[in-house]
Amino acid sequence: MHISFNELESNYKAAFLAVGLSLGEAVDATRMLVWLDAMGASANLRVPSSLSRLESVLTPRPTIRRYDKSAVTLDCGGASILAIGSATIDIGLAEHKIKGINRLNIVNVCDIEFTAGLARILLVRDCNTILSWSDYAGSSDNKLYLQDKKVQGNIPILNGYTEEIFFGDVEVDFMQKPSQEGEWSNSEQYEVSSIGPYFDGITVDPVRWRLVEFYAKKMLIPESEKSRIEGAGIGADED
Amino acid sequence: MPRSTSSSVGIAEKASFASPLRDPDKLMRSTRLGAFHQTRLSFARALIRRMRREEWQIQRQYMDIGIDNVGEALYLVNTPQGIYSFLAFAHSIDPRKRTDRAIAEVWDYTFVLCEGHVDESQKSRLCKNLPHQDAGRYETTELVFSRANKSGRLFDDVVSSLAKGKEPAKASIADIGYLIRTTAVFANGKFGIADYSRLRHRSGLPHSFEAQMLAVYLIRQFSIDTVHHLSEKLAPQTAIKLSSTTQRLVGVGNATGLGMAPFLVEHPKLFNAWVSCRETAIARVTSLPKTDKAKWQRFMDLLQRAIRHIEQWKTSDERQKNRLITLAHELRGLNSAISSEKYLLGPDSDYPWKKLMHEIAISFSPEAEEMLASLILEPHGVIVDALEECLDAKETEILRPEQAISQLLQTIEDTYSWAVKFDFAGSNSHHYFWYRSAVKSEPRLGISGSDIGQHREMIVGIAREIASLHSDLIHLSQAERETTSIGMFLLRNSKHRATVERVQTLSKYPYAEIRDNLLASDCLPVDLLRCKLAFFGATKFDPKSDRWVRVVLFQGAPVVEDLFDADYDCDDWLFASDSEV
Repeated sequence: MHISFNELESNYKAAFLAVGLSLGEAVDATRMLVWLDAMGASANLRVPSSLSRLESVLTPRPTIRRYDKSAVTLDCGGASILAIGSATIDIGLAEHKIKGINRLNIVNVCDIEFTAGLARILLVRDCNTILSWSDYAGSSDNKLYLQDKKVQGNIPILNGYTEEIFFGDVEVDFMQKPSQEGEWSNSEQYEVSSIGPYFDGITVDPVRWRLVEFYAKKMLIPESEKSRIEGAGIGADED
Repeated sequence: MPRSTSSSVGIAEKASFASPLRDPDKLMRSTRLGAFHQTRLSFARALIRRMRREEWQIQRQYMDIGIDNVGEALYLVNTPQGIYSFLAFAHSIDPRKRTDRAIAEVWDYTFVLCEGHVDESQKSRLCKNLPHQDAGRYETTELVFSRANKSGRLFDDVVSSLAKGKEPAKASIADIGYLIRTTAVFANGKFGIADYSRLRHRSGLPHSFEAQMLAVYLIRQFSIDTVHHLSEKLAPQTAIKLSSTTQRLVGVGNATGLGMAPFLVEHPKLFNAWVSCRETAIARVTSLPKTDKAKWQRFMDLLQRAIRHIEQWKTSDERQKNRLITLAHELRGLNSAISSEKYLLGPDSDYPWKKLMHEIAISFSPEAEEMLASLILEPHGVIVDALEECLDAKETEILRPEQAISQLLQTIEDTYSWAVKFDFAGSNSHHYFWYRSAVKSEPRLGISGSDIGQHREMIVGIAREIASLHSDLIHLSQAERETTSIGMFLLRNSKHRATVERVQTLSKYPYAEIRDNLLASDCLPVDLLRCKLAFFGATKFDPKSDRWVRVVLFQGAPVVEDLFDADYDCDDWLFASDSEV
């Protein structure tokens, strides 16, 4: 089944809102997933199980486990990186910019396979960063470099339908102070020149996609009687 | 036409204006936005200029529609950037099922605008999907799809009249304004069609709503061609065509509902770009120290035309009726009060446009003041039109987590004081909530505490969100405000994440926010619909309730034949009336 990025984006956002994320969290989770899908990482295959978990389990808020001149370590208590990923990046960026701390450790997060999506959040902010992560199953070479707005290294493979929950830790190294101005235009130029699929939509697994739509449709409300009788096209006696 | 680059225009000019940009506190109120009119920067106007400038070729390839209104037509649009195909299907429908409502399932006509040529396999797929509109599926080379119904008041009468060899009454065409009326125009990735990114970067139609405007322009041409075609089918011996002047009076009707209002809230940087360009244009003109006879005469001619246009602007809405009465009165008064001697030669000849806008129009109703703004821009294409290159915006909002809470608080108090002043304790201030309807996913208004679904509301009430954030921030201690970063604050208060990002991003964009409480009991969404439609280039706003409005697009615009006529002025169609097209 082929869908547009507008459909991808609007359904992800609605689905995240439906499972209880705030608007800001939902928008950032959507940014992460759309970027992964655009990069060919098929996030759409894995996200239904995450949505199910987000809906049924209360998301704990990250707490600071350790804070010193070299690093900030946030313990996420098993929360999904889709829900808390951007908030943790905020802490890292804030401490980097204010105090020059160059390392952020995000520990005990689930949905670790979506970590590369954080690159989308970082790219928008023009960060010169290395983002790396390891899951508890033992793989440790998932590493994405963001240097001079170019992505090097590999995007993690999310193929397959496994419903396993992947927990793990993430390291973010801020290598230099991000620039203050013009960040978005550079990043967008990067996007336009590098990500072809943004123009052509993507192909999704119809069964999995219906699950995303199932959550998204929870945001739709039956029309009220007043709305029904006053909506566009009603009551015009001449046409 | 001389054209400057986009880098030479915009906010940076502000300092050099003799006449400042208008105050957003005055301008960005719903009632003011709901008084905007078409200007020469409106998207429909910009499209026609581009067509002429780039010498686009629009050719009907075939029209095969029977007198039973079944068949199809194909147009090709050849531009320097590429070829587009516009395919139309005609359907015979039960008149009882003809409705402008979103729940409609059949329409007289369905349309699609595609990149490149349409081959047989694509046509066959579209033939199966397009008649079902949003129940069908589309591909990324399809840019826009739409549907339209015949005007019950006009279409058949015009066909019948032409078949008898008689030109229909020009006045009734001018009054009604359209032969067919669209009820939706879909683009930007809906139902599988081309995404906005493709439209913007690859389609050759990169500007705001440019692809949609092209589709509507072609629908208009199709409607004219169809009445000619059908009348000739009915009576080949006697049928005539509409005269050129009557053809130009044919626009495209449109019924627009609530969906446009959340768009303006959800695309604040784009909205800021639209309003900024319009205001920059006004400031450029009002900053001119002198005018000349030709420009002044042009303005006076347009003023006369506008008065005639208002006479032909029909509405059944009492509020709009009263506004039109006042508008006509004020413009007639202006017409007799000002004279070329005074403004060209006399003591008022310095900064004449500024005097008009800032001394005379200031006492007018918003309808008249904004119409005057449209009129003074018209003779000044040379300094205005390049602004059409600035009508787009990169929309991403960027959160700055390192900012101290005290700085954010200051930003709110400096730029969002309009939002903080609302008292959200009173029930009138959150009388409504916005939601997406299960039917067609369209935005709707519900009544708080009465209608179901508030827990799933859309975030349209920006004023309430800002007030809530502000309230949480001012309850922090002074020490916390100074030492805590926004990142840390949001770790504990994730519900404010989107609002913080919005405030931080938009504080430098004066025209980004509608400075009203869109949840209040006195909220009139129809004002916001009109504002957006005015930017499209719509005219003859006819509110049918406080939630939907009927308008006309492209009335007075050149028809396809005019585009090829080098002697025809394709840019002279503001406030068209039956006396001048």
